[in-house]
Amino acid sequence: MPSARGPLDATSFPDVLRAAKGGQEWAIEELFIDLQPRLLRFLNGLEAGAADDLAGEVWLAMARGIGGFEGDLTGFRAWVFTIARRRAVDYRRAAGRRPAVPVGTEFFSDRGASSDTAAEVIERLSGQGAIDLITSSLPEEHAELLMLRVLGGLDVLRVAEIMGRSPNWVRVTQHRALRRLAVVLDSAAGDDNSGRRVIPQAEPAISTP
Amino acid sequence: MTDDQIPPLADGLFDGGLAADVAPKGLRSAVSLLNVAGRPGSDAELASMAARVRQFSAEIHAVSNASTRVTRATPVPAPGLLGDAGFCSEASFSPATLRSNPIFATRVTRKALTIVAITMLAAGTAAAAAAAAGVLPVFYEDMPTAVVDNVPTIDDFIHPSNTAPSAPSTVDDRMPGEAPTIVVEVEPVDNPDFHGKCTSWMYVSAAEAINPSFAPLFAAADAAVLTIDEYCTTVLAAPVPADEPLTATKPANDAATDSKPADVSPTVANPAGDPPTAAQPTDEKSKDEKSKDEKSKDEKSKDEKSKDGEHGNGNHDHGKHGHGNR
Repeated sequence: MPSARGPLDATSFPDVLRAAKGGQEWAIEELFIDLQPRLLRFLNGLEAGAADDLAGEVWLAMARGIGGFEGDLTGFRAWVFTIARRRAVDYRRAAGRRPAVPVGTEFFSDRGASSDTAAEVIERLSGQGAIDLITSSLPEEHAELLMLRVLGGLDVLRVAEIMGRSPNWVRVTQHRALRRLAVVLDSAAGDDNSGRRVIPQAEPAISTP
Repeated sequence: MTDDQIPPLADGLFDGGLAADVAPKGLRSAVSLLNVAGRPGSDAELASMAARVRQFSAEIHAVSNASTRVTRATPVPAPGLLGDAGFCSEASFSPATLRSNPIFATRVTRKALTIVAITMLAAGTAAAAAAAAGVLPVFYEDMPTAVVDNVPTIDDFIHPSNTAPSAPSTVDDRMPGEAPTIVVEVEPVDNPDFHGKCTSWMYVSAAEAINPSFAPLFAAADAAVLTIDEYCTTVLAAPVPADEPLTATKPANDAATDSKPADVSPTVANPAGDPPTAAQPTDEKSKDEKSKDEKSKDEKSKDEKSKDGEHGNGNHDHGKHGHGNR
């Protein structure tokens, strides 16, 4: 559902923010269209099954705090994802550590023909499907880092701030995460034809309620 | 891998928009996956937009209204100090207000109000004590003339014709540097109840002074801006009503001489200060006293008429006007 005014960008953001602070619904819709899918995917990657509730809490917190926010689009996204991450952490603490459920090979099970490449399969994934594949393929911190970089559109410094790590750790980890993800995807595409398991059971895991 | 060995590949890919075409061959699938992950939202992901937007908008308005209420809100009075009317209703404690009004601020406000209320009570008590002791500054001692002259008494309401609202005050007629003339309005002193109550008041102990039967006396003294003792001294110094049994009275207090009308003298005084007796000595004596009372009242009314003609201020003579007629 694209916005009638076009995608939210750094140029249009100040006007949208000003109108949203005044409670104008068109501006809130602009923010929602831009942020809600990213939020849902991010929260699903952290706490699958509780993403809707957590996203609702994030929007409520945004409504209470948007009046005092000053900054650009990147800063706004960083603020929103900081809230989302904290809500997910709170939820995790409250609910206790849940057993991780390994994800199998179902991501590639819909390959129609053996001639389809991994890239074609990936293209048929939804946004949430791609995030699920990332979170199931990578350690939790690696997946979270990639989600913040991709979904939040945040730079190294902001991701480091949100995760409480150094910028160098972020740079090194994102490189390792990319390498690892590529290896997993390539091996999955190749191994699937031979009938072997696509995703190792030891590392990938997502949480379920 | 040290910092110097970190390839800028991943950083460049993310900052450059993750173009799979420019990515190394080994990373293309991963970059493609990340691009898919960042796709625009689907209809399913935006299904709750209408409800969420309404909720968001309502919350923003609630927060802005709450902040307005906090800015304009009257301070919360301390419970118990101002009675039931001091308590706030639940409507003024909406969740939005509580969120934007920290508990600390509320406590500080209540503490401040409590301190202000106690200070005002203490100041009022001290002022009353100072007034009773006669140690008020000159400015404040000048005030009773202006205040008392304009205080309407019950007599004003009962006999409006006796009142001259537009009459000039004696304070205005006073020359600069002249000593203030304190003129005190008293309740009608021919009320038998007040004579009896005042007589009782002179002999009651502190514990008995809270008896509800003295409530009318308190009200009358308050209306005359006098203490009970001063008011009763004036009442007891006034002529005793004819239909009231003659009772002995305590000698007038020196403190009340300023407020006592000059031409009014106690009918019967008890120099020894003996407790009052209800019995009359003899009938003849009472007749003589009644005739004396009538004569003195006639003389007094003549004097008052002449005074009214001079000053034109009927407010000063309410305690004397029409006593013989009642």
